[in-house]
Amino acid sequence: MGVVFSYVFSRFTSNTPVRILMVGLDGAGKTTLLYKLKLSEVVTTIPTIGFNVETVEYKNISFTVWDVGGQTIIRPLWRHYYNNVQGLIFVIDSNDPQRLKEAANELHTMFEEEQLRDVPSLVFANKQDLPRAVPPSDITDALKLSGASRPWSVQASCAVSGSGLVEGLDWLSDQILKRN
Amino acid sequence: MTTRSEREKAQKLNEQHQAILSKLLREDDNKYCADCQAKGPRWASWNLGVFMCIRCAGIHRNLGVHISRVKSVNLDQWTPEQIQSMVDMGNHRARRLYEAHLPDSFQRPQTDQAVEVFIRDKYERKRYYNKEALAAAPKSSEAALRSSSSSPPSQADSSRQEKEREKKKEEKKKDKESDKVERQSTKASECRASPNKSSELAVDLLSLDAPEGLGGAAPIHEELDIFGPMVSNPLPSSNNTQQAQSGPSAAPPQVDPCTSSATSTSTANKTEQKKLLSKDSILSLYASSPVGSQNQQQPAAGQGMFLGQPQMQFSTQGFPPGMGGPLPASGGVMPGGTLPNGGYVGMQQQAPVPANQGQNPYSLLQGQQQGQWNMNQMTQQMSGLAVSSGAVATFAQSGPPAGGWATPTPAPSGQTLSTQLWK
Repeated sequence: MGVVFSYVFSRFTSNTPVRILMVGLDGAGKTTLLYKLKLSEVVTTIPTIGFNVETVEYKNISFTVWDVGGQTIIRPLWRHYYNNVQGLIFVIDSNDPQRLKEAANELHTMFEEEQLRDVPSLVFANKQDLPRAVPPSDITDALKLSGASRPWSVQASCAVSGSGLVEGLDWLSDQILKRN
Repeated sequence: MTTRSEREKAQKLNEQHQAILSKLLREDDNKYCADCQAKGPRWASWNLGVFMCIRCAGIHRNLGVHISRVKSVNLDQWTPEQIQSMVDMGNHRARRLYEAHLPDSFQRPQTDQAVEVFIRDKYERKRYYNKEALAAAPKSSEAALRSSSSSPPSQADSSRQEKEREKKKEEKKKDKESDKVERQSTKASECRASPNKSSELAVDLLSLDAPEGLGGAAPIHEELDIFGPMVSNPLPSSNNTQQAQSGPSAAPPQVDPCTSSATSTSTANKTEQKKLLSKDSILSLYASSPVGSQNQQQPAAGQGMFLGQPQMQFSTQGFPPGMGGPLPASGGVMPGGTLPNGGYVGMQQQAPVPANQGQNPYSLLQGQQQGQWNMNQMTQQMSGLAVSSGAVATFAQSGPPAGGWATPTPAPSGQTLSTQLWK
């Protein structure tokens, strides 16, 4: 009874907590993106070994974003974060077309996971400010997203300037609220 | 899904690469970060061919992959091409190339911002760059080789050229190479190629170590052999095998001075071992090398580091085993990397900005004592982190992992970690 009450209470008074997992290849800009969201400033990052976690309040939703390191050998650890994930953010370095295939493989491996079934997936085509950035439409093709059965969206972004981040979160929060 | 044999093959290749990398890291110049001179670099920019510390790795990633492609020595899988690039360049040659015009009185920056400015000057704007400086350097025959190759000699840096060259060679000899690997993995007894490889590698190191003396044509050819028989050689394959077979007889005498000059008696033992093993399979050969490196308290390849890590997590006060001993600050593989990062995470949760701007404890490690003190602080912070993020998590969700590197995985994570990672 108390649980129900507190649930209803929290629904109306405080923010809805939402658990977001943010992954991507190493150096895609996940940590920079996380702290841009959290602090609205660009921090000097070092490669993430392990993870960073921050709570970001946006539109009456409290996003708990888990940012997990993307080095090859520690990618198998991602799956330990899949539990209860309500939204997936996959960050791509748009400036690195050579590794798009690798990114696509990782993404589709995740899509096959039972725990992540139907989880709305937002792809940040990050680093769009750099000279050789691949446009989001091409990234959509390279990631072979068109056949995916879940809700997905590719959002052009630049974590350093912050462009595209809010749009991405908007889409993700809409999708998550729709499911709830 | 990959088949088991494929996975084994990949693992074997990865082990070879780790062995090569740890050998490279034993060279004097590679023992320090190419940019800030921090001890014991565990990161690398494979297209630039330099080893660096984790902080400089972070800055290099800011440059974009068109300038620098960062990889972890231990936490990433390497391709032959990338390894070759590291072998070809290394901190010694890179310094000649990228710091040719660096004034002698130059004081290396220490703060984050200053280091970033320096790194951008060095690689992005190429303010200290001088290509001729490298051409005059030891590997003159390689330079000749490069000019004879069809790639246009533009202002593009040499590593990129090397990359291109590598790529061409790769394409040409890919089939042959894969055949070779397969043969090695299936028939351990038929091992002509494996001792060859090791000796070539050592020769390689030699030519980097003592560049003035041995920049001749032969070592170069042998060097290029690492990933396939005569990758660079346009001659037909029959010739290749001849050359490859002649390798072991010629190479070992050169091996000795190289490795033994590099370090202590244990290395000498290792070389002897290697000679004995030279008729054995490549497996046993590489099994012997990590042991040797552990004896020397050098960064060991692979598994050791992952096992060390969780122990660190769970001890709130004491130092992880292996940290307290005769190990220099750089000795432990992961301690150099994880702890700072853990601390970084923790500090960012409490006060993110100052943590980033101001203090980078790992870069300040001067003496061993200070290092230990910092480690101690770190561990305390880590334990604090586990508590704090645990609180956050429970607030946020019904049952999510409660913070800390180890927590998402169950308690015996050390085992899961290492076994998963290496399978």
